Amino acid sequence: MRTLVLKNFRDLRAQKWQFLAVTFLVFLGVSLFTGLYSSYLNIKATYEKFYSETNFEDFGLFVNPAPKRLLEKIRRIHGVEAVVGRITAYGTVEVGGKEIMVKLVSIPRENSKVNSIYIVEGVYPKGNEALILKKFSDRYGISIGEKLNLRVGNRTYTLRVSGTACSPEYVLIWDMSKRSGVLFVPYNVMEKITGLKGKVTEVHVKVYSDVDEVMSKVENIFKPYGIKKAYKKKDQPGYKLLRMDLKGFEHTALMFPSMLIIIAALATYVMLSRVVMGQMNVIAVLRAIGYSKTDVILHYLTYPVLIGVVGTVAGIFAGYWISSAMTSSYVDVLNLPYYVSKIYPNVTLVSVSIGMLAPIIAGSFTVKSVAEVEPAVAMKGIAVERTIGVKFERFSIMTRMAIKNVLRNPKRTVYTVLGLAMGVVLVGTSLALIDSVNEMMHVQFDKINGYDFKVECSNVKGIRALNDVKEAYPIVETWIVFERNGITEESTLIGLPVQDLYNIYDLKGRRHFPPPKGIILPEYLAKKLGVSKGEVIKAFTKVGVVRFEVYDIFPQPLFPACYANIDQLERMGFKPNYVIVKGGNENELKRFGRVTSIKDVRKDVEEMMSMMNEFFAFSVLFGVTLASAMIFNTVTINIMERRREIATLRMLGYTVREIGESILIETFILGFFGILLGFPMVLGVLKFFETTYEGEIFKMPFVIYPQTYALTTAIIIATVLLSLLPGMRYISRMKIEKVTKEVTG
Amino acid sequence: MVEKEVAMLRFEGVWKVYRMGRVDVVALRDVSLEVGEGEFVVVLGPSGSGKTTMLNIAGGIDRPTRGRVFFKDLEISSFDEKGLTDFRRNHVGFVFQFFNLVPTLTAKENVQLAAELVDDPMDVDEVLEMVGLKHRANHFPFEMSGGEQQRVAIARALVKRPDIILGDEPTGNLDFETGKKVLKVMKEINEKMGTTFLIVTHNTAISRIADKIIHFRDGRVFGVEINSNPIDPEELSW
Repeated sequence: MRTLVLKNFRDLRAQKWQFLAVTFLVFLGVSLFTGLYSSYLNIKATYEKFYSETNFEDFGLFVNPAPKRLLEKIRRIHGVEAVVGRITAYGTVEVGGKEIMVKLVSIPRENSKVNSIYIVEGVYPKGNEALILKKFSDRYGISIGEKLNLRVGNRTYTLRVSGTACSPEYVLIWDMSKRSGVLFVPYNVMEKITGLKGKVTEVHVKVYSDVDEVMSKVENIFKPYGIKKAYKKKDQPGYKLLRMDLKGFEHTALMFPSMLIIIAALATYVMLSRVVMGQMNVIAVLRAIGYSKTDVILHYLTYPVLIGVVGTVAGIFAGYWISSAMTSSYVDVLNLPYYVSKIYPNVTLVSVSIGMLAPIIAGSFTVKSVAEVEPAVAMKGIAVERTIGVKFERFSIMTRMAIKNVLRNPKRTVYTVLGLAMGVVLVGTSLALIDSVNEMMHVQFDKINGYDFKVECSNVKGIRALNDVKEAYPIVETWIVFERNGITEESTLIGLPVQDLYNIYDLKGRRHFPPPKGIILPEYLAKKLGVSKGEVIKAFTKVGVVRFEVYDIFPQPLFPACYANIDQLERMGFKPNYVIVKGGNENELKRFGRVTSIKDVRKDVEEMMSMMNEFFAFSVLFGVTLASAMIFNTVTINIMERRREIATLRMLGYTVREIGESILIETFILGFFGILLGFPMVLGVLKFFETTYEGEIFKMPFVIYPQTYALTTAIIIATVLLSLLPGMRYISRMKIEKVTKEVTG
Repeated sequence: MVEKEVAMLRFEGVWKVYRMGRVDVVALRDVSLEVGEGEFVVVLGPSGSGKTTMLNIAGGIDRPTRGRVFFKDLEISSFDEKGLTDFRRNHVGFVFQFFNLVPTLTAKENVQLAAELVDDPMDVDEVLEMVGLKHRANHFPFEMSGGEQQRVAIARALVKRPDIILGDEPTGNLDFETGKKVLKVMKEINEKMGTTFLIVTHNTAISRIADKIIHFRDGRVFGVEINSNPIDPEELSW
């Protein structure tokens, strides 16, 4: 069988670009799967390790100042493993000539057994020292030993930086270090700063038994002092967002590579069927001289096996490299001190399985069907003469050839079209995801938030009196916990007057107004609670237990919330706590309370989205590469398969251009149907993403802008044209006498 | 000259019917014939007379619809797929009208392709020398003339030391002089090595070199001639 092996290598050399293109597809699929999925596992393992090492809380309470001694009571509750009480406050520090907002968090004398501080560098603080969040220190180059001028209210303090730290509560998927930082300050110093001697404003608990039971007992202890907010681990903002992001990551890690592998399988099928069909006579001879069906099958299976082995091995190596790089950059944003990067036998096994099996299965279909053909039949070439009897007399002979070529093997045409459609899906989906992010930003910041600043105060008259202020309205913004059939869900309640600065929009861009009575719920929340329009729902709020009639339910983009009319809320006992302002000067507004600039929020969100956009841009590049490989395969194999026919045409006097036009028509027919099929598939994928990126923090309005259809089509057409170039070069350089001699060979 | 008494190949009432769409096409009708060991037999008949079908069945690359085919004592018409493959591998050599060489292999490699199938093949270089192509051993098919390609095909058939070589219009794609050279090689192998040859052709002139001529028409054998004085291929003209 040595000679058959030699034939394998000669065939591979003769059609190296086609084989390389298909191998490249397998490589892309395997590397992307290995890379993305092991990144997902690395990140998951990293944060799980970090949360475990730092004893992340099972639940937390934000309370009005309450005696610290209550913590002893909590410690005595059965099921409590550890508890820490804290005082928190906001202030500013002067860094690099700028005043940056910082959150001050008290820490006990010794590192606590819940939400422990992970010291990256330096030592645990004593006296007037503080640990600083690593990300914040990196951003502003604050070094250990440096003294920070802290301003809280009208008083100033000096704190020495004893080290940099990470905390499980500040594992965030977007980097906020530009605008805010966190300082961990000894409890006794915080007592002095806040004047809350012997008090706590936050309680964090770790349990070893039923969370709900313990939580309920702890809530009872603090009820007399007033609970501002109570949450379980799953609702901790950083943790919740991270989990949601990882869920999306996991879906992406599975979906994109799966598509690639399907494309690789289709490409292998198309390529191999063309190679094998082109060697029908050779197969007949092999069978006639005594090679068995199995010999022939094994001989031709060498190609998909080689494609699988080379693509998979290279893909796994590249995948783990991608994984390490991706994990490191993702974890860097997360504010974690280290990352876990390892090789996962299961992921490797799946990579090997899909990378090897997809081309082999696809290849074996072709090879088996051909080997089944009786040698006498194969000799006559019946199997390659299949055509559909459609007449196209009104077209030129070259156009007819193109059409007949498409119809010659319907199954193969369908697979090629499917492969091209997948290329459209990759390019189209990636572009559409960028559209969706832009649309979300547009709805949130151009439509919903018409104001420039949000000031934490209720003095609307005072603000309206300021010179540059054009408009100002009071609003209520507070926490709310719904309860229905034993399910509790936390959200934000916003009470609005009818005005044009803070508008309510749904995901489809339709404007809604504050309801005359009742409440508007975001769709995800209504689904979780199983509540529908018109029903009355019970909720816990800072004014006690209230009941709302559900006025409307619809999906909302960024920061979904529950909306009610401010008048109704005021009647219930809520007091306006924010003022939204159009115009005005930030520094002047600061006199009234904490100011949030919408411009800054937009920048932060854009920063958060930039990582996502980078991924989408990478997908576009990837989609184009993939579509190119697929189209390149289709076009070049088409030319190689018909080289005798093309040589004859050239011998007859057809120019390279005329032949090229015929191939172009054929490729465009395939491309047309690929695009036609691809766009509905893009919409399907977006629908899938819609369910993935749905949650409390944001919901993506998945849209495709009209120009995206045009751009995707243009990219695919340009790729088709570029892919034609090597084939056309082959035709123009073709040694006609050599190829025509193969007719008798 | 080898003894030519024993029947190497025997057809007994063989029918072959092909289903073409909704129509049954009868390619062979009750064909019975014998090819003796060491004979050089030419099957003559116009296109579509069923001679290639007969040759394919004789070589085990097709099966009869009805009737029996024997190779020596073996009824090959009853063989399964594996049996037929073994039969082709160990007993048969094929030479086709369009040579059917593997284009990516050189002349020598094309011959090796067949040699590797059997335990005791002939020496590849020796076989190429026998067909006068030792100097072209490392050339690819597209670098050779039609006659040379056909001689490579003969070498490929011969290298396995087959009992019988089946030729389907082996000169059909060659000019007169080249065709004669190819036939001369075949005839020499038949005479020197005793290899049985069964050649199908529509070229009446070729029948003059045969020991036996079987006439085919409309899927039937309508005459068998014994040629007691076969001529040398050099003397042929058409």
